[in-house]
Amino acid sequence: MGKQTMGTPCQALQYRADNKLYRIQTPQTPVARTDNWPKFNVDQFPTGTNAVVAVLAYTGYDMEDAMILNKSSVERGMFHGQIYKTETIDLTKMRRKGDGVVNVFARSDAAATKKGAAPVQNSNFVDTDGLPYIGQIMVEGNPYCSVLNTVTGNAKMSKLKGGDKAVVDFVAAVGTGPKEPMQKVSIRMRYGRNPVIGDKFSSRHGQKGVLSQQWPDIDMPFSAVTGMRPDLIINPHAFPSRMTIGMLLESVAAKVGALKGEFVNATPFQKSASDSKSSKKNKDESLVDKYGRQLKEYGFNYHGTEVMYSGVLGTEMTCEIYMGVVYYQRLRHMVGDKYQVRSTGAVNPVTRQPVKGRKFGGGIRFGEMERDSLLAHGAAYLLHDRLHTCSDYHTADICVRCGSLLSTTPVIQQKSSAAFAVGLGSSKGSKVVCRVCSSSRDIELVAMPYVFRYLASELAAMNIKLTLTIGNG
Amino acid sequence: MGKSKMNAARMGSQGPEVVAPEVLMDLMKPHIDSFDYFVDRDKPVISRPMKDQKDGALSLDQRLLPAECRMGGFSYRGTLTADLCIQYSGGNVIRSSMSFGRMPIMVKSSLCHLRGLDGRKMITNKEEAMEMGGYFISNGIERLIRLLIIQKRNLVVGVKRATFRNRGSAYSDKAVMIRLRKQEFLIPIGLILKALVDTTEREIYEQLISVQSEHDKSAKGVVGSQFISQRARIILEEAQRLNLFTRIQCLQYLGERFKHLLDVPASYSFAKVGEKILEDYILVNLDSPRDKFNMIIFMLHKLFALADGLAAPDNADALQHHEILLPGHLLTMFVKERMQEWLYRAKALLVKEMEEKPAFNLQDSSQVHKIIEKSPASDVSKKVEYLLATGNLVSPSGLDLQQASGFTLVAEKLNFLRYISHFRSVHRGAFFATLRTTTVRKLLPESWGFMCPVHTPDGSPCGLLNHLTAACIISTDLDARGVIKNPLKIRKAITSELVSLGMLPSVLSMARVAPPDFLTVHLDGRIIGHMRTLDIPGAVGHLRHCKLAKVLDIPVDLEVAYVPCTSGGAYPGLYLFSTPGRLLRPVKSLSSQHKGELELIGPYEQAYMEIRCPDGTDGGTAGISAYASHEETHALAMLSVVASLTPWSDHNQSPRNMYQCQV
Repeated sequence: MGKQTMGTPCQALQYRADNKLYRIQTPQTPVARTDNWPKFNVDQFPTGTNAVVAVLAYTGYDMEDAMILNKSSVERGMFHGQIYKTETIDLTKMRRKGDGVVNVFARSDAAATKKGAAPVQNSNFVDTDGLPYIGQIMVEGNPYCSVLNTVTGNAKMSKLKGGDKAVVDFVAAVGTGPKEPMQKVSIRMRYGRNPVIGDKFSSRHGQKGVLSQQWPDIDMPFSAVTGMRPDLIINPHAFPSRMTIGMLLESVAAKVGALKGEFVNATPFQKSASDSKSSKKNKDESLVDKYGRQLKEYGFNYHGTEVMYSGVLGTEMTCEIYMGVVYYQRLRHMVGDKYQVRSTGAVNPVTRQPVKGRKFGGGIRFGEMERDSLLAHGAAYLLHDRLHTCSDYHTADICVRCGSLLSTTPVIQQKSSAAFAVGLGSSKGSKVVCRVCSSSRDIELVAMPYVFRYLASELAAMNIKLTLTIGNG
Repeated sequence: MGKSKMNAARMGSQGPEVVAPEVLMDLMKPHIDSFDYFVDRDKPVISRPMKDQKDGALSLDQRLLPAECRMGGFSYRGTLTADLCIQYSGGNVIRSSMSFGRMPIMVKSSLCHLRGLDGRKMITNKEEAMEMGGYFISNGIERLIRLLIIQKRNLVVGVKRATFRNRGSAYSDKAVMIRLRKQEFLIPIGLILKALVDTTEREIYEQLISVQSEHDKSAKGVVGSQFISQRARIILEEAQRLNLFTRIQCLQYLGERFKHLLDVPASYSFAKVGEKILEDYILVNLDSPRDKFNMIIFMLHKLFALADGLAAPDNADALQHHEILLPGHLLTMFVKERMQEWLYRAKALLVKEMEEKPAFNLQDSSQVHKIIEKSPASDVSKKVEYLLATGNLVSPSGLDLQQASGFTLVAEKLNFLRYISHFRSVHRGAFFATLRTTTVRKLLPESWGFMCPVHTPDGSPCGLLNHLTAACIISTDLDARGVIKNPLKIRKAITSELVSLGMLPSVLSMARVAPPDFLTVHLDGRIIGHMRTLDIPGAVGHLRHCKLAKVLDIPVDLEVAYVPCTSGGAYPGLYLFSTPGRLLRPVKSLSSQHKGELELIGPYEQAYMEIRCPDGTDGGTAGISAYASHEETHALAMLSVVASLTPWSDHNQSPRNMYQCQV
């Protein structure tokens, strides 16, 4: 997951106008590192945090690769990060060739008399030059840029999209010509992205997991000797099938490193290194022996485990728990950027089915395989609900005589004003007539997916008539 | 690494202007050096990026900086100027300088303003002190041209493919295949041989059957059999059937067939067209017809050996037969083709103008220029910008590449590791993603030390998108001192060294030198001579010594591949390479004169070398410590930059390491 971590993307952040940048707020350099880490100056772009990790099946929230973070650690700033998004507004693209400068960046104060309350709100967010105040907090719908059309006097406001709270970070004026007023502007917004349930984290050994709960510090298990509570709890079931022994070694070695105040050399294949002096000595001693010995000197258990007390019950736990320091990284898949919810919303005009896409308020496809699983359960009504009622439910008039779906047309009756006043007139607003049979009898209202009607029209375009036989049962 | 060294590398201990270390700059070297090669020429000239008048020329500093391009959404470009020479039949050449638009410039290349600046100056120019460059800025977005793997050029690869046999009866590729504008044409070999050199048929016959051996077929190194004389006769008969007996007749025959396909003036005779075909399309890397002749004879020998099963077919997916297409080379080919296209269009416009308006005076250069400007010269640079912005290659010939898109990549600054790995990634080509065979995706032992075994994505690009190891470098056109290599000098130097060791140079056409007694010596696809098989190991050792001792004109990145005689193995010979675009990695030499010095080796020679492990043990091959010629530097040298940052990755299950390196 090294390449998806939210780290430090660049050092000259204020001189860049990247579309989207993720940045971790308080990164640390890992205690256990390889030879190449200082060689390639990776410390100039740090990417994670050394967390005290306990391998413990606790609370039941850490099953199936989920993990628990210490709520107080998070509140003190662990894994906090931000997203920087840049918007560029270019007025040169809006004007046609040959026109002079028509649009400028300005706030429209003239609209005060016409529109009433609008400009007062705008002046909170947008300055007279049409650009936002730096440091201003904005939510969805707040304007962040105002473009005034000098010819018509109308001001067009660009409004903030997306449900998160943003802070205006940086505004840059880009020159487009020596004599023109400012025509291009780039505005950078900063969104806070502190850890929330659903955010993804990973160690450096492919052990990825989702934050399932922020557990308060007082309820966390604590060590009997030192009283320390872990920052992160990972489930022991993640290790047997994955066999990431490197992580277990890192845990012990970084614990030793943290106690001694030294970085630990975790380079792979050290035993195959060419200098015979140190390798001869180290060949006999395993890493476990080496670090276990040093842990013992500091008063900890040789194997890296500690006796711990349960935070909830207050009693000593039967087993000793493996606790150490592991470098954890925060990945950029956050639930805030992914969640999608819809009850009703935009529909595709052709098929009248819900649209696709998170930003359009669309729905998630209930595909063929999902259909198969509902069939397997025998949940007939649920299937009908998913595929028809909640999707493109439509009632159509069908002429029973000719079986045609497309030839039925509603006819709007002209009502005389007299009949209106009296309250007479047919109870139905309009009658339905079948053009082919030229009669309005034997017209039935049938419920069908709209996409079926679309199919009928498409076939009709190819000269194929779709006939329906109406009956009971 | 000692504890003290580890602990000294703490954050902040080096001051605020930490510049990118040598090792990091070396990672970008293939990109930057190849671009430097592209721009380093007298004509056409690319200027440094300067501000345009309309971009706001009110500032004191006229230089266009990368930081400004990023912030403003512009492209980092410099003007491309070239001289247009017009020559009226036999008269003077009139030169006029023309601007061909604004060509994108790579950051931190020789034309960039940031080249050679120290940490403080970088910061004053609004850049990170750690800026490494190697990418282009296109409309404010950082883009880079990715490294692609292509077949090694100038290498004769023996391939068994069923499709060849389907082409016709008695075919089995005794023909030469040339590709002309994406069409393939087959020409009988005998015709080519006769057209190349004015020799008698007897000599051709002698050359072809020289590999025929009286030895037993199963003996080591035998590459010829009794069937060769039959085949040689068939080849010669083909030319005879067409009633072509002399060289001139062959050339005229070729010219007749191909004249309408080439853009040659109508005044060319058929023979001249024939010569042009031989020059431009048959073995273009060799200049003299004699060299081409020798090479074709060699190819036929190898073909016969392959057909008889005495030599094994080469695995086209092995790294041995691959090299890298560098960004600078891609740009060179592309710009050259665009300029040629522009010239053709200019010519067409002039011709049209002359036909329509008789008043048009060709001698008047201002009128000529006015007509030429109808197809604007700035299109050349615009097309390069398009290539950079989209990664699509629009070209009638396709530049002989199998893909037409996917050449560029956004250098995402999500994360430092992701950013670095973009520059170290090599892609096999989008074409291979569509194939259903999985052999291209396999990791072969030949890639040891060159491609990281762990750093490849899983899913559809698995095995196609690889990353170079941390120690791997790519040979460029610049030699160790930063000067462009001179291939002629290199060839002379190597030939003279080898002749002093007993090589028979190819200028003396000896008909009867052949394996297993004599092996051919190739340099960059050209046969430079033949050498006695017993003398070759000594020659190899001497060449390696020359590499390390930095003997004048012997390149440090010369690849010396000695393929020994085996029964049923690869076709033997001594192959030398000095072209750019090859993968190289350093290993320690164990020769008595240069013990411990780092020598660069390539994948072709690695397959036939004995390299031992540095821990002093035999490591699997019993007794290798005794006869190994080289030693590995460190076990970490087989991993890429990202993979080597995982602590104790040797204790993890390997897919877990792959996930850590994930895209």
